[in-house]
Amino acid sequence: MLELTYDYATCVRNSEKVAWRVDEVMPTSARLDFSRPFLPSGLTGSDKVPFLSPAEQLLLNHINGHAYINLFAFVEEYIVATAVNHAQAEMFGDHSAIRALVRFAEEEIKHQELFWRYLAAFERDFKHPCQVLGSAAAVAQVILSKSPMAVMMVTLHLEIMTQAHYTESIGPDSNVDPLFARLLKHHWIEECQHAKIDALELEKMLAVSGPEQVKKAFSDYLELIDAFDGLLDQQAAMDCDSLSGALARIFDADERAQIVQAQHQGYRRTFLVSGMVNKSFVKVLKGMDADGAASVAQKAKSLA
Amino acid sequence: MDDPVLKKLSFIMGPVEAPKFIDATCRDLGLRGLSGPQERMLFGCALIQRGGILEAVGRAIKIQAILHGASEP
Repeated sequence: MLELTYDYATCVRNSEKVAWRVDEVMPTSARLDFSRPFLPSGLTGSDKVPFLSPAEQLLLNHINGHAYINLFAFVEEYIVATAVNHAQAEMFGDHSAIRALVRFAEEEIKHQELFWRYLAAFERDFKHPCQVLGSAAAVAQVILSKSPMAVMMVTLHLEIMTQAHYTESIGPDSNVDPLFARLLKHHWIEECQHAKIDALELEKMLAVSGPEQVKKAFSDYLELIDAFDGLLDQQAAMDCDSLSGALARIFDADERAQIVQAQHQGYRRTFLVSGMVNKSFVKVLKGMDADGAASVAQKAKSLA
Repeated sequence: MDDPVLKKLSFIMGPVEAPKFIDATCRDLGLRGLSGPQERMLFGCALIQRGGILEAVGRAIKIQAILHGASEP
C-alpha cells in the first residue's frame, strides 16, 4: 500500500488556503514580456540549437512556451472528466472525497481558463501564427480508454511534475517572464493538492485490485507515455514550422532535424522524464509494485 | 463500513433497511453477494432501472465498480 499521511479533508483545507482567482494571476490587461524567455532553460530545447542566433532562440523559446501552456490546457480536458467520474463514484458515500474531487475538477477548469487567457494574450501580441496540437477530445478519448488505475497514474505524473517546473523557473539566475513564472507557481500550488487526491484515489483502487490489474495498469501507463511522446514529436515539428514562419526563413533538412530533435528532447524532459523520475511519484509507484516501478525507471532512462 | 454499496444504501435508507434491500435485490439478480466489482456493476445497473434516488445511487455504484475493474455487462 501507499502509506499516505494525508486525507481528503486535509486536501480541501489546504486547497482553501491557497485558492486564487484567474483575474488575480492574469488580469485581462496583462501583457507578456517578449524581451525575456518564457520557459527556463531546463524546460526547453530552444537553447540547444547552436546555429540559431540568441534572438532566434528567444523566439523559439516563446513558441515553446505557447505550446507548453497549450499542452497543459489540452491534458486538463481529460483530467476534468476523470475527477468528475471519481466524484460521481463517491456519491452517497464519502462526502469528504466528493468535496475534494469536485473542488479538484473546478480548479482544473479554472486552470484551463487561465491557460486559454494566456494563449489569447500570446496570440494577440506575438504577431505570428503558432501551430499547436488541436484535438484535446481525441487525446482524452485515448487516455480514458485505458484502465482507470493507469489513467490515475498518468494524472498523478502530470500533476506532481508541475512542482519541478515551477522550481526550475524561479532559480536565482532565472530571467523568465515574471508573468509566466507566476502562472507556473499558481498552477503548481493547486496541483500539489490534486496530486495528493490522485494518490488517495490510487490507494482506494489498489485496495480492491489484484496483481494482474496492477500489472495491466503499469503496461497501460507505459503505452500512454509512448502515445504522449508521439504527440510531443508532432508538436516539435509544428514548433519548427512556426519558427520558420515567424522568421520568414526556410530551414534545410539538417537544420530542421536539429530544431525538431532539440524541441522533442526538451518536451520529453519536461513532460515525461521529469514526472517519471520525480521522487514522490517513484515512491507511489514502488508502493504499487516494485517491478512496475522498475519498468517505468527503465523507460525514463531510455527517454532521457 | 468498508462495503461501498452498503455504505451508499445505508446513507439513503438507513443501516437496518439497507442490508435487507441488498439481500433481496441480490436474490432477484441471482447474485450470491457483492464481493467483486462485476457483481456490484450488475447490482448498480439493476438499481438504475428503478428510477428516482435508486437510479442515482445505482449510477454511483456502477461508476465505482468500473473504477475498481468491472466491465460493462
